[in-house]
Amino acid sequence: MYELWIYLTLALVAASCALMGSVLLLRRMSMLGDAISHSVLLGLVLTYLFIGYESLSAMLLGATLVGLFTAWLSEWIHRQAQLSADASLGFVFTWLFAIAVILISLFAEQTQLDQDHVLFGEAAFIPFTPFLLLDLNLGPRGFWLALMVFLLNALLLAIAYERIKLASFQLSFALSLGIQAGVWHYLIMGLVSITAVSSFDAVGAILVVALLVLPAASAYLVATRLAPFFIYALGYGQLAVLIGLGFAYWLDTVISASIAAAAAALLMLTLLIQAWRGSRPA
Amino acid sequence: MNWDANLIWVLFGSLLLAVSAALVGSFAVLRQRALIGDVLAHAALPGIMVAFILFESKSAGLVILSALASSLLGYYLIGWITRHSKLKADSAMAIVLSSFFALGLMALSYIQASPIAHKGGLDRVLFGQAASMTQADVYWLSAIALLSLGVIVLLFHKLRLISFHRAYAQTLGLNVQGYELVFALTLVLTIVIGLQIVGVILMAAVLLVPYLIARFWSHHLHRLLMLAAIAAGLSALSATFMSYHLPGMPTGPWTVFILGIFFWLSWLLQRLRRPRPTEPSHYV
Repeated sequence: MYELWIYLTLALVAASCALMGSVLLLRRMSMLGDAISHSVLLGLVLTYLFIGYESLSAMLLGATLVGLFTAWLSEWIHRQAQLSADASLGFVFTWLFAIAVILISLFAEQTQLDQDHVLFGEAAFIPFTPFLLLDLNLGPRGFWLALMVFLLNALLLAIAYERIKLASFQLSFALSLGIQAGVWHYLIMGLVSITAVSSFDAVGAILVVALLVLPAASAYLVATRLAPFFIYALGYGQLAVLIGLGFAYWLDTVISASIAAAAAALLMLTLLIQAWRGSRPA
Repeated sequence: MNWDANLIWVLFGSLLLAVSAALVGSFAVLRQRALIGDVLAHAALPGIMVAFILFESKSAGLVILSALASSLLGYYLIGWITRHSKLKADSAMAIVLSSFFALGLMALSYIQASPIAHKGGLDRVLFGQAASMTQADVYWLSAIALLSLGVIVLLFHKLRLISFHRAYAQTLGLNVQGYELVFALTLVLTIVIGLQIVGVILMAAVLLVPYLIARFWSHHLHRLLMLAAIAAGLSALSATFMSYHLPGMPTGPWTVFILGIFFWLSWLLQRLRRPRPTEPSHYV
């Protein structure tokens, strides 16, 4: 039963990451996903310190606020100090991440976080924090969180599919139609932050970026239309979870890193097959 | 206060490293590749881990060579992906970063679960722990930092020309690709030795932020590089000092935090002196 809960949670986390990663890739913001997944750590640490581990909603809120703050601050510095966009992003997320790591080492006892947790997550411990509703044990909390976030992401994509398509491929046309690109931008950033923080326990702060980037990039290589692109990304994500769990069991490695490595191997395989078949039009 | 010989060695090493990282990093940013340091630092990790699994040794030379090989592979993979697929450069960078880092962490967890001897301390390359450097580490680090500094000083005029006017440099008959290769090697070497002090995750900031700080003060390339080196040196010295005296304090995050403070202060002072910043002038 424990293994099943771990698998289901990881599958949902991978699915959420695949969807948001695809949106990021379309908008050419893959490195922003990397940045947000780092800086979300600060939100987590601050909520752990001030509110405590028990409050799930506070944790989500804190991390989302810091994620949005990262996106806003790097945009603001980019404009105000006339630095290039990637330079200001590079400054903002490394600085926020550095503060988070310093806070962790200063208040290690209070936060129940340590550097290993940040790096690897604690996938094997998912089943040990139950979700209790009226004294009824409904299974691990991590599972319900992952399910909620996946439904939220799927819902947004379903509602905003046409808008995201327009804003990603023809931004000026979308603006002329009156689509509020800024609102959608921050909505997507918010969801990326929520996805990153909800994946934190399962895969750790940094490997989230592998799940965001790699399945989406693999799907981008294969797909020629938008709807199949999302489907392929989901497929690659699920395959990576299965192969990664196999690796972790076989080599006795950490689950999160093995899944990310499996996603990388799948991408490399896709790249090599495409290069080997030559530059035939896809 | 305890001024033992080891502390002086470690301080000397981190000062040299910070200065060379600031200079090399400034040229990387000038060439519009602000986040390349982030990618290459992450890409070094699997090399270090695989070399440890193969040779069961943590000697400084082996770590540097294996990290160098792995980072260079990552560097070429970025170019290969953009040339052989429809993925763009930013996606290729994110792909190389996350793939290599994932492989490195997987290998690290394999090492931690296996009965290999002397495996402690491998994870210090993630966040950097200057205080745990041995004297051999400092020798290696100083030698390579001096080498990078030498390359930057010797090739200063060529690099400046290529950074600002690449096409013009080509028409002059400069071997632009050759110089770019030398620069890439220098960048990767600097990153590799930086891992000991700053760690994989925050190496990018040490390459990038000193340039951003100096940019608020001067647009003369000479002066800008000088200021970047000073800012980097000061923050590395104070962070190393702190992590030496407070056990458990990681050096990398403190260096980056102090650099960040310098950034905000410089920006504030610059705004007080002059209301709007200007673009860097191309001729210096």
